Amino acid sequence: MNRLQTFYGTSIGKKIVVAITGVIMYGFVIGHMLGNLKAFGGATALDQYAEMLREIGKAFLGHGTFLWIARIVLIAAVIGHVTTVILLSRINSASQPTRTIRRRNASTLAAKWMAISGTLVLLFIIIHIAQFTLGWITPHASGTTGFETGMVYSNLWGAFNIWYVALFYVAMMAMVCLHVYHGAWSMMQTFGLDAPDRNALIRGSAAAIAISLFIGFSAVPIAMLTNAISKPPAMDELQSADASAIQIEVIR
Amino acid sequence: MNEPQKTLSVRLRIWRQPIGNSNGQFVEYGVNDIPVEASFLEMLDILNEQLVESGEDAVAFESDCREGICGTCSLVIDGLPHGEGQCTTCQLQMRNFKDGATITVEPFSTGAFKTIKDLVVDRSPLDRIIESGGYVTVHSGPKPEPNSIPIEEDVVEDALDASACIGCGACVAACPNGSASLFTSAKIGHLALLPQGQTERYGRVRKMVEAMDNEGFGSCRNYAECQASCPKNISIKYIGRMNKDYIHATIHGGDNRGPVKAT
Repeated sequence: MNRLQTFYGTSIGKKIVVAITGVIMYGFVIGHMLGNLKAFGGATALDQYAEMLREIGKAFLGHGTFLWIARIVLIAAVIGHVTTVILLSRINSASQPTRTIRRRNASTLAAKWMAISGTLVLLFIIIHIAQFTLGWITPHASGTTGFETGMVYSNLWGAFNIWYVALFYVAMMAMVCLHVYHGAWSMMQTFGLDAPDRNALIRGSAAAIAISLFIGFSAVPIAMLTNAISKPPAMDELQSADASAIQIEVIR
Repeated sequence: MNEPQKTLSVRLRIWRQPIGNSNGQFVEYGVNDIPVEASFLEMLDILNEQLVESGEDAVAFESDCREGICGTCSLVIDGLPHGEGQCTTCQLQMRNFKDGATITVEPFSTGAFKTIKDLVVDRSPLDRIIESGGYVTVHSGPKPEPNSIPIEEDVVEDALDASACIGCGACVAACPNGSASLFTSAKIGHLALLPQGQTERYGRVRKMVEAMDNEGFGSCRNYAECQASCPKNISIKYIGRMNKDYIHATIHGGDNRGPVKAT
């Protein structure tokens, strides 16, 4: 315990906590993006995928338990990441140069914008959960079905048919892209896994993953806004949530 | 035939801060008839002669060897530590400036480097980081045979690259967080690579990292501005190695000596 306290007391210890919590969120974000691509398989594919997430480990843990474990781990990661970064930036603002510094342009835009992109992403996470998980903020285009729990595809469709909602999501994904690019390769340095002979690979992979995340995440709102993918089935044709659950059983 | 220009004139905006005072201000001075062969510090010597002759207080700045190896000179010139080139301040030449240029000169001041007077900052925090762990254990017996410890060539070169650090503090001055990670990691990396440094390797990294934090330096955010400002081209790869050794030290505990137990 004492060793852990000393560890967290140093700047490197804090950076490692930021890196570990970052890895957890990074893994989640990649999985989330890949899951979102199910939208291109149509409304049933996406809604079934969403239901499947609740079913992971059902045989052992029961319905939705794994999802809650994942949620708790992720919330803990977000809290750990944000509080540690705040602690670090307090130290950093006390130690920064007391004169105006000019940079030699060694630092990338992503590096300079870490605090800005991080704050925006945090706000985005809150809005995003309030919108699509809790259903507290539910803007939807006229003529579309309103928010209904479990109707993932239709909920997305209603929201992304408003141009500013789609634009907000695409802009926030650009922030995620910037943040994870600098985050991913800095994490390798924090763990001491960087070396000059593999830095090009590390930075290249970080950039490739960041760009893939941006494209993968932006694809759904843009496709829905431009009607490039099929509309959700009309409300009266929709089976009830219970019926779709039965359908899943049948498929299995 | 036109003679090439032999002298130049510049305007200087110099940070003046009286001793024992935490506030200062920029004061403008004009310096004329500077020989083009003069170095930047020689130009400041010319200014100081003028100031002394007119009964004013000379501008305080640090310098020693003036050949780029001691790390004493420490000026922020036009917002960049050691000026535009990636060299020490003393190696900056007046021929690199335009005639009639206005040059801003500031100290290496950060949260951890407090200004003592004018352009002189207190860099003793760096000395205290070294004191905390920058040493190796040697036996006190007769002089060992030279070359008795074989070391691979590339490892020696890597250690010597780290040992090239002259401790000028430009990395701290250039870092937006005022972090001393490059300095500390170079000192740790130098000893951690050599067989002589293995005994205290993991105790050293903990002591030096804790000393670095206690001196009020910031944390590394991977801006890489330190590397771009280092007159000795120290690579940020040493920061990654320091982190790796620090993780190892936290998991496995202190240095390699350990307690000796009789069975």
